[in-house]
Amino acid sequence: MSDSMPGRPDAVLTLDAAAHPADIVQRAAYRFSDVLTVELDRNGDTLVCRVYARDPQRLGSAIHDLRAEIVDQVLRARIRDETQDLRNLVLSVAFSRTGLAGPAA
Amino acid sequence: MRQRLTLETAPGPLEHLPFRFERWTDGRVLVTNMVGEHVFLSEAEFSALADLRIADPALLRTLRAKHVVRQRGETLPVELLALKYRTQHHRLADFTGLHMFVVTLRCEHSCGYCQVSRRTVARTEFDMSAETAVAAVETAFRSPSPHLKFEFQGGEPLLNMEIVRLVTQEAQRRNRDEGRQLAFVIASNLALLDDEVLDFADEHDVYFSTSLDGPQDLHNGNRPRPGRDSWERTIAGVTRIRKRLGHHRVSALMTTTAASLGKVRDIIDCYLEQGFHDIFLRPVSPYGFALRPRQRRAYDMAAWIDFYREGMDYILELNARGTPVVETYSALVLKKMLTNANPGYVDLTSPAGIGIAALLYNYDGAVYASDEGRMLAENGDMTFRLGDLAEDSYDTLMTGAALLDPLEESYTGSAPQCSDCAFERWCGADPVFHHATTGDPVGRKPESAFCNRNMAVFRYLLDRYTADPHARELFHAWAAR
Amino acid sequence: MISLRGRALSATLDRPLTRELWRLVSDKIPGPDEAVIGSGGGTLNVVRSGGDAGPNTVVLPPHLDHLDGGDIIAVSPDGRRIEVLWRARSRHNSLLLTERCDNYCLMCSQPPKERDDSRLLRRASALVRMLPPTAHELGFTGGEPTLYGSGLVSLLRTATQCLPDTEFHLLSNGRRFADPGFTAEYASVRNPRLMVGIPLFGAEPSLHDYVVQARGAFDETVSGILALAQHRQRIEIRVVLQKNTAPAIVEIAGFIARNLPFVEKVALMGLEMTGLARANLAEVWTDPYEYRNELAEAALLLRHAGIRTDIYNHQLCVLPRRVWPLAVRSISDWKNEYLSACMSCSVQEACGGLFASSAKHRHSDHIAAIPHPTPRAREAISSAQPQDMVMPAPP
Repeated sequence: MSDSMPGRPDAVLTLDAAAHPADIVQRAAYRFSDVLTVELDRNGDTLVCRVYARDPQRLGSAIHDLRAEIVDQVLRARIRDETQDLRNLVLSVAFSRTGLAGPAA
Repeated sequence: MRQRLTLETAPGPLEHLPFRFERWTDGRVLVTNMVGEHVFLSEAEFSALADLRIADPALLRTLRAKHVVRQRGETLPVELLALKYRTQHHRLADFTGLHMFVVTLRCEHSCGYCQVSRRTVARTEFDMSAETAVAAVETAFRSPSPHLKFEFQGGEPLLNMEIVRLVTQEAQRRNRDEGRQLAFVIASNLALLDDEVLDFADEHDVYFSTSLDGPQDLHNGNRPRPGRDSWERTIAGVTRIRKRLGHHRVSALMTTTAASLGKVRDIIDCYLEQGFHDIFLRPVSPYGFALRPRQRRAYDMAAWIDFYREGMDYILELNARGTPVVETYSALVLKKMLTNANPGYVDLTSPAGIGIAALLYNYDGAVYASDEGRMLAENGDMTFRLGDLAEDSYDTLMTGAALLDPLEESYTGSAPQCSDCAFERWCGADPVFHHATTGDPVGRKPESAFCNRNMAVFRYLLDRYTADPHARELFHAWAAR
Repeated sequence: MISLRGRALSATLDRPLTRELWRLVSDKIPGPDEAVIGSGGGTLNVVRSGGDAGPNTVVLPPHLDHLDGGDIIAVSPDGRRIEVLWRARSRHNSLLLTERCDNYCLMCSQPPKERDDSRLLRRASALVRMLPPTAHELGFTGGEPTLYGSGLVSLLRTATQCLPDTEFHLLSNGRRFADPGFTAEYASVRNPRLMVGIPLFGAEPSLHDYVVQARGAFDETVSGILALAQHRQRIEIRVVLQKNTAPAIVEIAGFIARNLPFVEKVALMGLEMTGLARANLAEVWTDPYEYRNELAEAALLLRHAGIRTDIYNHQLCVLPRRVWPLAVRSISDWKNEYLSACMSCSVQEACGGLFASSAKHRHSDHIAAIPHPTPRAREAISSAQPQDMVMPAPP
């Protein structure tokens, strides 16, 4: 991500790549981009997430928050995927001329 | 004997409707549905929702009522969500209702937080010409909106009353055939208000909007003018307008400066003493943070958030004691939270309000998508300059890349983080601000003062809404304004 | 309490009556559909109890002695059974169109009966033609009047033609309006003085369907309300507060405000202790005192959504003061009573009192005189504007 990456990360998270797509981890890290930046590497079945702190003093709680956020992002992604069709259905009904008489679920 | 139906919460299998969530530090989880209706859940309830194993009948009823889950195959929730979504987006059809005219850049004040290059009072090359004014009215009438609001800005618009009169008369003349609803507002410090201006305002139903930063010393410190009597002149102007035209014909707007911090109660008291029951606890123009961070007047958004919270606590206390006071920004946010109405306020609209809600005609004929776009141009950044009245028509202004690109990029439905944010339906994109601070119209949200401010406001309002029945009732009343 | 039906003390008819409806007149020569009250000389004569039973005369039982000129009654062919259909001096006249219903509400005051009673519809149509054009208001109730389909629409059309200045209020469970063809037909009556009142007992299907004892009712009722809105019809929503609905009242109000803000009016109603409400007392009774704060919150929430909201059948002493201005003295003149505790109350004049049935069977344990004359709550009632929804065009 942004900022110049110093050589040694301040922390490293190793994640199951199947359950944690890179996009998910990036979304989670984005929420803390004022505190930390991450670098991701796919290594076989694992995703290695190197964390660089902007402010090393806040790293401890930030790593904890990042882990929790990754879990939430997995859930967000699941809900997003699961409800994608319904979302599109709502939008198509919302902007269709006939509205309620339109497509059924 | 009839077979008695039992109270079955959901006879069939459940599924999620689109929803988003945000965790609170006390363990509660805020859940919002596709149209911004909200419900707070405990951590256990939220897990039950996530896994669709909802044993508590009352919880299931709430989640179905709030359109967070549905029974598989049910069509009514889809229909109702669609109806609400459609209603929330309806205002987009009323394109461009607000038209701002910078009739002059001249001003006799020299306020530190003013973003517009002030010019000495004598130099008339910074005045709008009659030709430009007429072309701007022409463009304004090309907008399809049934309501057109003409707002005169400056500088100090009273220094160029000739053009204010011309625009007003020209608009009213044109409207004889069109029959739209017109409104006229002069944004003025009122120092130069005289009987002629009042006669004009009386004749043409013109409203005034003035700046009042709070108590005398604070206001005069913020807003220097020769004689150090800005406050006295403003108050005298307010009194004259009310006496001549009626109490409702003048409103006031405050700007929070570093000197205001810690004085929010005094500021609110001052508004009440002066008979204003609407107050907008407005941070200094974000360009104060963005462009001149080392300025003496700069303060950080965290300080404004404390200021806002203290002010709101006091406002709620006053209301509970029977003194009505409304915080304008909160009222706008609450309208979006609690109803399907879209107040169309520029900062809280997605797609961004620029151009769609407003157009600004500068004294020199340049057209901007917003007041802030003009300020950037004053600093040499032409990104949000849509064109020029001498060369462009309404159509070319409204379909140029300068307007459409940032609009599309800032649409919060697709911007990073915004697309996951549980507050998104209540928020708005501010591409001009984010362009100014980060160089791209989307902005990095965690570092964005815009995002921080709105998040803090949303969290404050929700906390009071859930914890305090009196606040809840008051907030519904505000949302209805 | 005024009774609306009874058996004649005596009837002296030459032959069975061939018409059922009679308008009572006292001071003019009767027309063919008019009966003379108080004396003889007409085709049919009606005298109060204690009067002389001359020829072609029915003698009223004492509890119908309130009948007078202008009132309209139905008389059985043998003259024995008398039913009051129209009281000229009342502003609350309503006609029962059927006792059939596809809901079976736990607290129904008019328990449904499954039998052909379409004579009631025909009678209503005849009555409407007899009403004076000055008639202020007429309600149509059931049962479920929309079960007649086109038959109901014909009645509404007749009513609209005969009585262009009368306010009509139709009470329906709203389910039939989910049928777009029926709703279009209903809307084609084009009567701006016609409003339909539809009960809603939940913000989602499970609670509403339980209260009305019909699965699928919520979806049909709400779809019906939406269809009516598409046709710009006037809608009132009625919520009866009882044991099941009272805890959900704020949620129901929020649902209406957010999803159905186009309705013209919401009526929040106390339980009437008649019919099934008495049979199901344990399942439906709750003391209004227990839900008074939620009721107030719900009522004000609706007001702030720009919806006219009235509170019916609640005594002022069990309502928070800030919603007193929303409380309506609604209980019909012939149904209301006061308790002995009410006699020293300073706001009795402004209070609707109790249904006679409530006074007799079950009422709040917290009915108490409000001792000192106090001004009505001064809180300004929200002047919020009605909010519309952007409805798609009707199909």
